[in-house]
Amino acid sequence: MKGKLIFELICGLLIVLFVYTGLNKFTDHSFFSSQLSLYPLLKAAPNFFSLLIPAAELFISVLLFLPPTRAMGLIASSGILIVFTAYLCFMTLSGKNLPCSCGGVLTSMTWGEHIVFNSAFIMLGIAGIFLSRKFKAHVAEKE
Amino acid sequence: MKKFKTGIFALMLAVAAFAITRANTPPSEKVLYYWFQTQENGTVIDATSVPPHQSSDPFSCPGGPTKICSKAFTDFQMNSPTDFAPAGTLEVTHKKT
Repeated sequence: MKGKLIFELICGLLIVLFVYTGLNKFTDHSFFSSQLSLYPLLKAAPNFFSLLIPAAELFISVLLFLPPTRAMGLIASSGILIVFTAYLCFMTLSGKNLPCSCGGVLTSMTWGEHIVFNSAFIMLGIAGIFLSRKFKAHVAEKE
Repeated sequence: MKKFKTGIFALMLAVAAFAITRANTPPSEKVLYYWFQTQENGTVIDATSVPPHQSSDPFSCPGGPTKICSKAFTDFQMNSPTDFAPAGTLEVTHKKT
């Protein structure tokens, strides 16, 4: 019961994160696109990435929202956060002083703060994946 | 419906947070500038790559005595592939708080 509650909480927190940042990036699309045009690797197609990233975030929110696809949503959310964090680490190590195009209030975070923030959500996502597998095994045992 | 309870609550929370953030963002902040860091006397330090182009200050100004930290300009000029200087007009000056 406690595990189920934690699982629900993890999914809820990830939905809040992805819906909030996704909506901010969509509504501030031109700003987000102009920021991406300054980034190495992404500057080749800033318009494409500025649509793809928030679309992926909102799609993951839908996966997390629907109970049958939650496990998939948790894997996808951990995956996308790992990619974001790897990119943040690359940016920090490269020494480039670029703005964070994270959406909403998260933009005010420094690179270091953002890496810590993302890492916390990655850990939550991984914990959620383990919990969903545990529930699945539990249901299979009952059957 | 009960199984969607967490999701609906999370969605409502996210949309509310988004609405609050939007409402608290002044329209003037939507203007994009090129940001440069400065020395403490206010002299602009040329950037080694394309300066950040955004509405808000990307450089964190750490606590300390009130000294100039960053400046925002309407344009920039590339002197060399590793030297980007401000151009256009100075629009914003940020100080350490």
